Amino acid sequence: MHEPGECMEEQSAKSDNDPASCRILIVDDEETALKRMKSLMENRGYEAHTAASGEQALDLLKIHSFDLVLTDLILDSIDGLTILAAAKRKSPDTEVVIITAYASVDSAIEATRKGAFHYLQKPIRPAELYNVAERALEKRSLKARVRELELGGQTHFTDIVGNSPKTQAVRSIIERMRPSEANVLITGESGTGKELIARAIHRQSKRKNQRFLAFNCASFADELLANELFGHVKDAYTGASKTTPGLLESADGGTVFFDEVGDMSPSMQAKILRVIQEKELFRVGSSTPVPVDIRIIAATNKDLKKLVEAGIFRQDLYFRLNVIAVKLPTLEQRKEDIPLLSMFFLKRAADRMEKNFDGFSEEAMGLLMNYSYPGNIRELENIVERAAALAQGGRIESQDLPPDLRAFETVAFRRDKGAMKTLSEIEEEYIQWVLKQAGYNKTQAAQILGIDRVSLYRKLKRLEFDE
Amino acid sequence: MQRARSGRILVSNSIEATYRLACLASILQQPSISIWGVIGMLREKKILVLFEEGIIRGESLLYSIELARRLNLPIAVLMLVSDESKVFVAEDLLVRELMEPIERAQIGVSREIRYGDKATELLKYLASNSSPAAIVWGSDQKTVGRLGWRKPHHWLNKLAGLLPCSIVAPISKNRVIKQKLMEG
Repeated sequence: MHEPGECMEEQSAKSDNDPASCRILIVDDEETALKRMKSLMENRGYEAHTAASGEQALDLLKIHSFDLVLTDLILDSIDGLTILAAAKRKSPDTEVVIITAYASVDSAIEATRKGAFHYLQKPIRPAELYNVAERALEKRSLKARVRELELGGQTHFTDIVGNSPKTQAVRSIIERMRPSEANVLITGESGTGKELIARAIHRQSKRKNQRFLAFNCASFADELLANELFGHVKDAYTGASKTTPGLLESADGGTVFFDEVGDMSPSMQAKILRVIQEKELFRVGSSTPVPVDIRIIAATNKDLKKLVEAGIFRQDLYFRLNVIAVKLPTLEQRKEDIPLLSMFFLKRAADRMEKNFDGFSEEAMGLLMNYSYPGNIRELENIVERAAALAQGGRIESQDLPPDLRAFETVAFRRDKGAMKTLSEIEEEYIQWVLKQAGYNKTQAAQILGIDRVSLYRKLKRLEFDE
Repeated sequence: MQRARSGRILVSNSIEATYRLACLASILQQPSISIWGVIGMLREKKILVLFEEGIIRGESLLYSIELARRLNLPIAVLMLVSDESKVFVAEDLLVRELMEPIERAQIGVSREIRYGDKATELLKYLASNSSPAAIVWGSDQKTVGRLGWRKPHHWLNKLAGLLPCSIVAPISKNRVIKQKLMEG
């Protein structure tokens, strides 16, 4: 699952060995050092991104996943250790190397304890930097390979937690599409795990050894989206100093996940349609087609069919994407999965925090079961992680849960189109209709309804009809 | 404050407006990575807190703040009123009762007031903004019962099945904790 503004990618062990496919973030508030390290890394063929401040680095970490982060320890407001923590939180496989002019044993120990791969002292010697970067990337590659082998042959459904009928139905659809190469459209509310499902589909496909690239269409302005996806040629616009391939090219042979595809502009829809139909793309500023072979998994929380009817979304693209449809239930619709999901998140948080938990008290689980979760599984995950951080160990008690879960009862309104009406609703609608027919004369309406005026007034008061 | 064409009053956060201008200016000159971050920030999902006719329930505000913290998202406040004459009163109310507590909680917030047919205006708002992660109903508690909608003819019912996410309405069940939340 990823947040707006993110573009995440997952690489196979095979592609990890290629420097061009390794994305490195360099963080330093000294401009000269930043430029030098960028140049050194690019000379080795790595894709180097730079951030001149801690804030900028955190913003970039939200947008991209990096294979390696080289960060100065002492920065203006956000230090290298915070960047280390953010990088690891975003992707535990990302390796981080801390660099500083103020080396000390204490900070070195602190950095490695927090998961830094290595510690380098300024001034940086190129040979040393290359050596450390290569070893860090090799370690990352090995970890990916080990995971690949561990998961080999499995269905990769380990993260799809739950036994409710709706969850089982989703698993069944994914299992059945294993031999297929068709495009997939996943629909579901925010936080229901659309990206998780997309990854599961990729991992069981023939393309599993190639890249999986996730892209959030709502996060970027059109021009920037085109540049990022399709790349550009030299001099395509001011500042385009060299030809750069886009993300779609880098995912050739793999799978691209377009999240929030309903927010894609009409011009971008046309470009993506071309990629699907013609299996080729044009870099920004170029008229030479570049062949690409990608499988597209799209996701949206909007009703694409309605967007097609309204002329906002292209019908031909909709048909191309909606070859296989997967509808994800809200957490409200699979409440019976809450205990299993809560335990799953608790165990994961406990492992990370090195704590031991037996589970949840009855009262705490009651609160979790009775909440509406507008943020769906992502919200449950956050609630459980917060509780795990606050609790000392043992059981999660109700006081470890957010106070609003205890203070408020939440009522969710989500009536599906064509839902059956309750008797009370039909009564209300009928009273409304009779009132209208009687010209809002209550005496006459009461006579038609066969009740006295007092009863009608009582009903109207209960139903809170406007005059 | 700026008056937009389609019969609505748009009050934009000045920092946001500055960012937008900065981005537009920068895109033409330097397509640097930092601009992407800013664009990403501007178009991120929000918790949409929905009010009508200047009615504001305290618990919906408290709940929205907690939800925004939990999901690490900013809040967008949308007030829908039936006619233009109510806009300025509603604006005053929003500033007095909503903006200050949200800003004090250090949560990003933007606000907008629209007038006209509420269902239509909400749909127009949703069409012109990225889909919210969740919608919190912040007005009249009489609309909300413990079992769900108590007003089947409420304008929100017209939108059943059209909204991209759930609408939740918080109802107080524990006054002591609510008091603590208000103090906190």
